[in-house]
Parts: sequence; C-alpha cells; structure tokens
Amino acid sequence: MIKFKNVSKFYGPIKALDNISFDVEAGEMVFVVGPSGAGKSTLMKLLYREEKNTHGQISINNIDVSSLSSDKIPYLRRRMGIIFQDFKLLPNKTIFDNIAYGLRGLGVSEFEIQKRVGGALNLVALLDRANAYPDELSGGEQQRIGIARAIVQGPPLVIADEPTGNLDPKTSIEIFNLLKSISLRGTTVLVSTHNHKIVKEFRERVLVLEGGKLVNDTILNPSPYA
Amino acid sequence: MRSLRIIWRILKETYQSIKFSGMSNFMVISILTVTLALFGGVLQFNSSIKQIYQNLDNQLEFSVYLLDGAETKSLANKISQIEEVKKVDIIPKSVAWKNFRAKFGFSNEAGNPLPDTLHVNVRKAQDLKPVVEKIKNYSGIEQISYAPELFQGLKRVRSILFSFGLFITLILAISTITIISNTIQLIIKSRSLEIKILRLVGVDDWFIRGPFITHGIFYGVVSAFIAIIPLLIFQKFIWNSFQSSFKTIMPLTFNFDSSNELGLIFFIMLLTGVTVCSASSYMVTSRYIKI
Repeated sequence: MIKFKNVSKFYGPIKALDNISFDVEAGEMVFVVGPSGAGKSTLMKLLYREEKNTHGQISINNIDVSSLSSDKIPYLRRRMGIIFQDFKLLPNKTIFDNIAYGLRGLGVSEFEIQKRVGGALNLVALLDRANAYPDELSGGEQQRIGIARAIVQGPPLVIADEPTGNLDPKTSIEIFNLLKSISLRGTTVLVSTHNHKIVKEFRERVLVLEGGKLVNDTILNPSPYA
Repeated sequence: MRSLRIIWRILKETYQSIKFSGMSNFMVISILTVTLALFGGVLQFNSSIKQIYQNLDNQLEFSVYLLDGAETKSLANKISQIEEVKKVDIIPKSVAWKNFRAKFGFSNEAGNPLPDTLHVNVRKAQDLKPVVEKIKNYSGIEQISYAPELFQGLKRVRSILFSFGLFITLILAISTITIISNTIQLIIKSRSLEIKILRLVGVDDWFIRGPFITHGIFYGVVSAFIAIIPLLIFQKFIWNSFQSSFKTIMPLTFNFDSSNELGLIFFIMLLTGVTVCSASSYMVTSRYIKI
C-alpha cells in the first residue's frame, strides 16, 4: 500500500527526515511515534503531498507520489482521508455541512451526500448532532467529526496527524479505538502521536522516529489471539 | 450532470464571497465604474469626433460673413453666378441675431454684433474648397467659415483630449487592479481554512479558484452596466443639444446617430471590465492559493 524508500526531506540546511524506508500493507494500522521535531508531521505531509521529499521514493498503491504533477495531486487526495490535531472544522457551518463541504466541491449529488454523511456520522456515533455547530461539541466529539469527514469518501487510506494532541487521555483512547475500528473495516490507518503510553495499550505496529531517523519498527505486545 | 452541479456550487460560493466582502464591493465597484465610464467616455468622444470629421468632409455648405455696409444682394448674385454654386441664401444680421438669442438666451442690451451672412451651397463636396478660394478675395467679405477649417481645430482638440483621457484611464485602471487584488487577497486569507479543507479532500483546482475569478467577473459586469448610464445620458441629452446648437453657428447638416456606436462602446467596456477583473483575480489566486 505505502512504500517509503530512502526518503529524506530537507528544509534548507535542516534535515527533517533522514533516509527513511518502510512499507505498510493494505488494512494495517501503524502508529508513528516520536518526540516533537522527530519528523512525524513531515512524514504525514509527504504522504498527502503537502510537502515534497528531497530524496528517495514514496509510492501509494503503486502511484509515485514523489513525482506526481500538481494537477494530479487532487486525485491522490481523493483516495485518502486526513485527520488533524486541531480538527479544522468550519465554525460557521453545521456538523453536516462540515462533512459535506468537500463532497459538494467534488460535485457529489445532494442525495448521495445525505447518504454518505449519514453513514459517516453513524460510524462516529454523532448522527444526532448533525445540525449542531462545532463550538457546541466537546473536543473529543469535534475530532470524531474530523474522522467522519476523513472517511466520508470511503478512502482506502486514512492519515491522522497527532489526532489526540489536544485531547485528554480518556478521549484519546476513544479516538484511537475509533481509528482501530476503521482499520478493521479494511482501511489502512497511519497515526502519528507523541503519546507512547497510550500506543502501548494497542497491539499495533509502531514506527519510532527520532531526529528525523527511523530508529525502530516493531509490533508492540502482539496479541496472543492474533 | 456533475459539471452542472459544480458550476452551480461555484456560483453559490461566489455569492458567499460577495456577501462576505461587504463594503469592499462598494469600493471596488465605485472605482471600477469611474474607470470604465472614463474609458467609455474617451471612446465615445473619439467616435463622435470621427463622425463629425466624416460629416464635415461631406459638407456642401459654407458661410460667408460680410463686412458692415457691404452690398449683400449684389454679392449674393455674384456668388450665385459661379458655375459650381447651387444656391445662395441671405441671412440678414437681424434674423441671425434673433436666432442666436433664442438659442443661447443673450440679452439685446449690447446690440447686434453679428454681420449679414450668406449660406452658400455647392453642387459637389469637392467644389467647396475651390469656390471658397475664388470668393475669398471679393470685396465686402469679412470671413468665410467652412468645414475643413473647423476640421483642423477639432483634430487638435481631439488629440489632446484623447491622450489625456487615456492617461487618466490608465492610472485609474492600475488603481482598480490594485484594489481588486487586495480585496480578493483578503477574502482568500479569511477563507484559508475552507480552501485548505477543499485542497486536502482533493477538490479540483478550478473549483477552489473559480469563485474568486467569478467574483472578479461580477465586479466587471456590474461596473460596466453602471458606467454606461452617464454615457447614455450624455448621448441622449448633452450630445443632441450640442448638435442642434452647432447648427445655429454653422450651416452644417449633421446626420448621425451614434446609438450603434454606443452599443459597441458598451461591449468594449464590458469586455475590458470582465477581462481586467478576472485576470487580476486569477493572478491573486495563483499567487496565494497553493494546491
């Protein structure tokens, strides 16, 4: 699904990522952990081509992301859902319209939008809050809306960049559980976080970044039932 | 169907963008209207002068102003003997003065300054100048007024006003482009979160830029429609009145209607407004919206 081959990213003289290589299989859930400045966000941004790698090769579903021309980037992004630390919800739009906003830009019919947004809200258990505004929801609920928006197009890949960075530990576990349930439905999920403690509770693959280098790639506490 | 839905949604986004701009719309439309009205005015002036040239070129009449005490009737007879002359009308100074006062509302206190006048008609336009040359040496003639003489004066006035008008239009056009660019830039900044979301869900580039460009087109269209109003007023009232006043001074037969020209001028103004505004918006979106 995702292939990183000797990927480096420089910001001027600063090396944000240094010769990173790893593969992620379809349907896998992978945590990317590391302290602030380790390169987690840069790695995520390279995946959705917000940034371009300086060296190496990145491919998603055999599409070479590194050499993708700018007019092809929207097609790449339609095949993935992105979740942010700060939720990025539009305060003047209802929850329903926040999730539908991108679909409308893609020319999806209103009937189809109703169906898809309803399904996504149902999955995050917030169907009853469709007409509320973001500031009427708690942080955890707002992030669930962010997740609903990311999965509303049914993408094969979900990228979550520090999705629990603004949330308390209990809510963070709820969000990770939700992402885990999305992964179990066959979606590849890549989550960056600096919260090692919570990650340990999930028996998933963890990529550890430090100073831009991939220092560990392991599966924590494999389940005896796996 | 999908394309129609996207176009409809672009229009809705444009409406939101216009609504959001508030008083900035008023400012942009005001300055753009002044610019287009001035530009249209320059074109209208140029077109009118051009038509006057054509009319003057085809004139068959000229005026002969006589000295006080000249033998009006014998001079009229002498001129009418010339082969190329078709007709000579005598306008006594009392009649000319009466018409002049009626037109311009002058009082009679200062007395009648006008001389007796002969309106001479030639058979063909090309006969006009040779006939004028022939009779200008006759005694008793103070001055001869004819089209080519006026033509030279108009040419100078036209050239000066045209250049000045274009210069002012250019300065205003630069100001307009700057104001439109700043307005669109402010909207882009204030809607940066929406733009980011659209980019990251993979919405096409033209759907993101489209509402800003149609916003610019809206400015161009509205301003062109407002800017044509003063030109229509000028055409209908001032220009028509100028033509009839001109006929009092010179025996010229104007026969032109510039309403077709005005249609063309409006089209040029509309096209210019739309092109300038959409191009400014496009440049701003290219600079500030990164895909």
